[in-house]
Amino acid sequence: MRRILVLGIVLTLFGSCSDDFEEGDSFFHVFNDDIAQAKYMPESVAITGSGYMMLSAKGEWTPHVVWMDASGNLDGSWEAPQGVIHPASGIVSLGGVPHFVCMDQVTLQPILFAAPSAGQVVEIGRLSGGQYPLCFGAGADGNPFLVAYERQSRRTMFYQMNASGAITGIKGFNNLQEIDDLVLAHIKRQKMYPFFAGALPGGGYYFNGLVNYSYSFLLIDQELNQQALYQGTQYKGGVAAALPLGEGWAVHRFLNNEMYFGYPVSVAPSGVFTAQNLGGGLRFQWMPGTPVRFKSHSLDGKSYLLVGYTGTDAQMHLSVLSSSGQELGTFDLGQGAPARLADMAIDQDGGVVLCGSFSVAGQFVRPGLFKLDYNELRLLAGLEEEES
Amino acid sequence: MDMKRESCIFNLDMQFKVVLMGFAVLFSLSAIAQNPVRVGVYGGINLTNVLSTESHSVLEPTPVGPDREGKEYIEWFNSEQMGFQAGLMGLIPITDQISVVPMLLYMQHHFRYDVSQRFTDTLNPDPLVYDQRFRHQLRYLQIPVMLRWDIAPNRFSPFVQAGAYAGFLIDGQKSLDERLLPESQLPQDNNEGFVRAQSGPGDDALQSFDAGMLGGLGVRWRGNILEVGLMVNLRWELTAPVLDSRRYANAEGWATSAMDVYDEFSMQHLEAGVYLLLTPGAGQSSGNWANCSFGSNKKRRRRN
Repeated sequence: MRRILVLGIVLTLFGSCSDDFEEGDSFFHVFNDDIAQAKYMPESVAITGSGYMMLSAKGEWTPHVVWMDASGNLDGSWEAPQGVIHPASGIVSLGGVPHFVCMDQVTLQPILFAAPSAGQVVEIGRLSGGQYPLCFGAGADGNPFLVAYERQSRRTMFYQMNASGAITGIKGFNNLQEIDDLVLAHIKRQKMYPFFAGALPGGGYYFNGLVNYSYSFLLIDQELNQQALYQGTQYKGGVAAALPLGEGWAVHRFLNNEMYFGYPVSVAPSGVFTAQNLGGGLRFQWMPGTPVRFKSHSLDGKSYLLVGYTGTDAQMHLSVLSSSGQELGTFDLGQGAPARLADMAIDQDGGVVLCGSFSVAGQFVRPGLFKLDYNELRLLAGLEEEES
Repeated sequence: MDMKRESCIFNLDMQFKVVLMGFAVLFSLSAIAQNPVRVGVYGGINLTNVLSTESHSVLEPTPVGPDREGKEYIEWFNSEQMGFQAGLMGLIPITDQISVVPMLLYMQHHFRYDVSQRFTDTLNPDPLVYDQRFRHQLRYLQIPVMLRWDIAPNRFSPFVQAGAYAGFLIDGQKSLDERLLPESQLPQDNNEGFVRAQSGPGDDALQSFDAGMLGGLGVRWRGNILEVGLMVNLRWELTAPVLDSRRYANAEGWATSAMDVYDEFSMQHLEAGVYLLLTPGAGQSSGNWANCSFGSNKKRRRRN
């Protein structure tokens, strides 16, 4: 009997053994389509109340939206009706509802859409007189703005809006050169320019556009007056990503097929310069012509810079940099299945989502979303694992 | 992520010590048993069945997504599901007919699942079919402990046994074969046309520890020194093999390279094997192995 008792104890101990792991928040989903020729080029990702929303161009330029729940599972999709084309980069939350901008195929007018819930998209209005939307963003006050190109006057336009989408200020920046082909190539996703924009910490905006015969980077004040201009090398080089941070700017610029990155970089608040004045180190491993994204993030109360890019190895990469610019860790995504980064966003729980295109079966290009949870980011930054 | 692994290894180390302690107690108690302890070797083959309880996939079909039914698991009786096991076995008698059977086994489990997708080509009426075939090989060090009842206290007896096992994952290998062909060109033999796309470690998202129940039946022939037997057992894994926290996190692994992640699943194994046990020290009192006769314990006690 004693031996049976001992055996019972041993078996009980066997049964009690288990690995004590918490459920992870990471996920990776690629949204598939049964049309072999369908090709998706994601533009932007946004965090919604219930999960995520990803805006892509399907085929040449048809706007396409995918909603995901908090676990990254498909929650709905939407394809723009005929006549609506070209999703401009950027999703802005107004009153908690994601908004984005597309273009009318005939009039070239920017169209503002709201996406109140998964699968539902509502047209809010059309920007009369405007043409060729390039980039949609929000200022420090949360109100949206739109960067667009006006072909007749050959100007890059900055439209300041209020929370309901009404125009409150307009400013044009002269380019003075016929560049319709270049803009059309961007809209048709043949040769894309990484248009971006954001809010300056002390008020005002920064954006890049086609200004002064080149692909230029501008700083403007709250009244939309030009403060600083960093000219590109015609349209073959310029600032392609920038983010103002406490320690200085994170700046990515390109010149022909060379990709440069600097952090922290000093960006003069006023004056006229060339993009090359911003310096930066050559990044051989960054794939030319692909978007680079910066996000500021706080991990355990310390500030870090997240840099997302597509590598020459056809993988997405996410690097974590300290505030002094030291690279602490890099995460690779897409080994064996070619991937291209489009955008990234900081999640409400402190994780980061990366959206981009992935090749199913090596050839069907589909939009996908990868989430790296907060703890994985901490480990990338070299911080010790939290006690659970 | 590595830190998580390290903490897991620490836990497993503790568990392993507990198991070893249990064996030590059992063997020390057996020293006072009337019937001799027998030790030997065991080996055989096993067939694996995978029971998926929750489907997980990287690829999410949109409303116009391809016809995709998820993973199709190959069931028990297929050569691709066959692995082998081998190791040490003991028999610790408690009474004439009841024994404790501890084992230390190297287990190799194989299983396969297929994923198929169909893409419509708007320029060509012949759709494209993309088939993926994932093969898995998991290797465990397992410690089963069973309670065995010999139906007859004779030289030849059938027996039934049941118990539990704990296992530690040694490693897991995974391979992907794939083919992308127009539907009209699919070979008649569904196994043709595949090419190896990838192979390598596949255990990054797997638990290091597994445990479950097992039981079965067999027959044995017992002599004074030697015992041989044949047994068939069914193993039912009770722990979830996949780490939720790493299912998608292993971004450098299969999730992104082949867009494949593990479902939530459990494994069952049907195993058959033969064993050979010896009685350590038997015959030494006579000083001559040749004088040892194969007979029942009852006869040996009568001679003494």
